[in-house]
Amino acid sequence: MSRFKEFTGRLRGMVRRSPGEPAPGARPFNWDAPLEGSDEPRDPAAGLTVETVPLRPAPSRPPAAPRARPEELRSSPEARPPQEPRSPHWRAKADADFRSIYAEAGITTPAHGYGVEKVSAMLANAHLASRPRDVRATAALAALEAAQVPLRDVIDDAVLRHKALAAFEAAKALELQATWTRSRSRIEALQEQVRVFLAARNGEIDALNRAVQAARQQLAQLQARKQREEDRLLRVVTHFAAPRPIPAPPPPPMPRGAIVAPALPADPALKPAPAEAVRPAAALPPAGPGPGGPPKPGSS
Amino acid sequence: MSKIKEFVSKGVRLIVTDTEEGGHPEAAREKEIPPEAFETPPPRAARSGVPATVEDFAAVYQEAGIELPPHGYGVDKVGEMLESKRLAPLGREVKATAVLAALEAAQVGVRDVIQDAVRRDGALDAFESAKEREVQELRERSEGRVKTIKEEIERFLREKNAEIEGLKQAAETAGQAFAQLQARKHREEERLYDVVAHFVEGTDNPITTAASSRATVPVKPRE
Repeated sequence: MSRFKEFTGRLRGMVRRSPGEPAPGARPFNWDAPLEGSDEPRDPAAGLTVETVPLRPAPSRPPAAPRARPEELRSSPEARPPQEPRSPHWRAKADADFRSIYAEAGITTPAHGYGVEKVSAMLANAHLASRPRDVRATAALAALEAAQVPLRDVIDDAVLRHKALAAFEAAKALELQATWTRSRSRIEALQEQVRVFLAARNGEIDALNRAVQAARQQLAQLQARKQREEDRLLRVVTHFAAPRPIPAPPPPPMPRGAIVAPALPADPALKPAPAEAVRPAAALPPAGPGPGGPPKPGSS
Repeated sequence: MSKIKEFVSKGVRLIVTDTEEGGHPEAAREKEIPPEAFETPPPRAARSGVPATVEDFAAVYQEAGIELPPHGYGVDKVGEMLESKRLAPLGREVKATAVLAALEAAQVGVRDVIQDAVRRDGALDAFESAKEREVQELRERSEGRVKTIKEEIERFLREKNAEIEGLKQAAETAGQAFAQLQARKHREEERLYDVVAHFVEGTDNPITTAASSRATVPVKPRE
């Protein structure tokens, strides 16, 4: 019990208000345990002690709804049922910090300062971190009681934030869906543009190719007809004319004979020698048997 | 070179020339015609208005300025004479002799007939060349246009595909951002749930975690 008191004492220190902050309305807090043998708290005004806090909300209780913004609360304090988060159009992007999302949703820390964030911080306090879960819960509840903060406010704050998150997610889901739909539509439109463009251009290319092909075929047919016409003309002409025979090539020039010396004027002094005497050696018939007969055997 | 051009390129020798008596003296004397006699002027125009599909070459000859000789005996008429019913059963030489006799009777030289044939042949060559040129020009124009079209297609596809890729990338990025948001939201819900669960047990905890997240998952349209 002493350790528990130690914890709660620390918690009290944690939730102690700053010097300028006004104290909540007088509402005594009973730190003492209930009287022995009695289920009732010693101070009924304290009401909700750790053991008697309705941890399970009554089924008839409506689920916590988002809370209105603080300024709205100030203007109409009795507008207690929290309203839904404001606009489905969120300025925050999908990767925005949740604090900015809560701020955009108009969720602020309750006036008494005890929201789910603070309670979360209390539960995660280093002094309580090693304690069992129920001990931490009890300590936090004790602190809330000390500050005269209804647990409902904390739960409402959590529900508000939860709803804001859900609304933000839903809005972003809608945005994403719209983005996808828009993107899909645009892509389909672009693909249709491409299809039409390609059909037109490919059609033009096909027409050009067909035109060239047709022109080639026409030319081939023209060439065939022209060939027949030329054959016809040639057939007529060849009845009367034939190609002129190619003149025979001129005969090859005759090989020039030995140069004969001009006849010298008659000079009685110059009496020609006998033919055999003046014939040059080269002009002599080859040595050997003459035409007169076969060589004599053994003459060599 | 066409057959007739090749035929007369070296000049021609007339086959039937035994008609000295009673024929045209100058024509009768001519036994050979030199190649110079068959030199034709170049075609008048490099282009032809006659379509390539023309069946009768008369339009081609007319466009080339080829007219029937004044005496009326051109290669066409001589061709008709050779194929006339009277001469058809006769031998080739007989037919040629008969036609030559007729030409001489009309004081028409064979040279005129051959020149007419050569001119027509030249006109046909020019016509064929013009049509070949037209086809070539058409092919070049077509190839140029096809090239331009392909460049247009490439540029168009590049632009559109870039836009499509950008849209897909943006959608993918948005989807990823949303998935990360859901994960972060889930952790935040778990945190809130855990805080509240310290005081409210089980199903009475007004904070839900997974079910609501699943309900808001958008359906991605099919690609």
